[in-house]
Amino acid sequence: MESQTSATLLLVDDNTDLLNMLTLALKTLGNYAIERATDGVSGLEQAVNIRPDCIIIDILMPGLDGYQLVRALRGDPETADIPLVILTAVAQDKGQFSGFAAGVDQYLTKPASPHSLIAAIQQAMALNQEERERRLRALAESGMESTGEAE
Amino acid sequence: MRMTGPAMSVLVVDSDTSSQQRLIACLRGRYHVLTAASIKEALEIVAQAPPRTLIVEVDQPDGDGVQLIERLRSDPATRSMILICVTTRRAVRDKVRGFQAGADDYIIKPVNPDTFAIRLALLERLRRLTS
Repeated sequence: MESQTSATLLLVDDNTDLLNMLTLALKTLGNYAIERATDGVSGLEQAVNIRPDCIIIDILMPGLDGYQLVRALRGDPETADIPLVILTAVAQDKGQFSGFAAGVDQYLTKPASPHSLIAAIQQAMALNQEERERRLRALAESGMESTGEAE
Repeated sequence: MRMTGPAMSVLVVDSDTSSQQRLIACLRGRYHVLTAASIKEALEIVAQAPPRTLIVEVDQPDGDGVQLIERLRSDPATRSMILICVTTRRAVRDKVRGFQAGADDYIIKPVNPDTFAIRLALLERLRRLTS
């Protein structure tokens, strides 16, 4: 009998090879149920329809980019509290600031090990809405455009 | 929160008075707030002096707020403005249309006053970084 999954993740990335690799790693190591989307628009549709426990989002995608997808989710009370992790090749400080300013909980740069991704997912899922708002406020008050990796 | 200075102007384009007042309450004290109840009125204000930020409801008595965003984004005189949809339209296709027209953010009413002010402050910082 199949064991019960720990949570449902939605992976949004236009690289299907990476999606296959992440799906295998996250199912095996984290016992997660995985849903997938290959662009920002279908990622948003799936997020609204299935309400995953966490969404892992690439930045450079057709349709809606990752920042826009994060903003679309955070700007709607119905999806604002879904834990969000960006996993991207965009490593510049400006990219990280853009991600955190949009409302993402964790920001990882590729290549990231499956274990570091699972750690980021768990940290994102541990946040409540109050903490999320506190972090956003702290970012606005920090006066720093470079945030570094999330706590 | 770090202040953005009294010179920062925000134009709220919404024909619904209570929505307009809610947004003004979020912005008062931090921004010079202007209001318009239609696209025509908004374009008149923008033509006189483009505000730093424009917040627009998609449904307007004389047209479509997303088309206003598209128009401002394609005009060199206004393309660097911060443009935000604050609307009751929450369908995925509406959100996608808003972002693809050039909206910096798309927020569903009613706005949370605390988070709205923070999101706007962060958008201003992002715009300074990229300009």
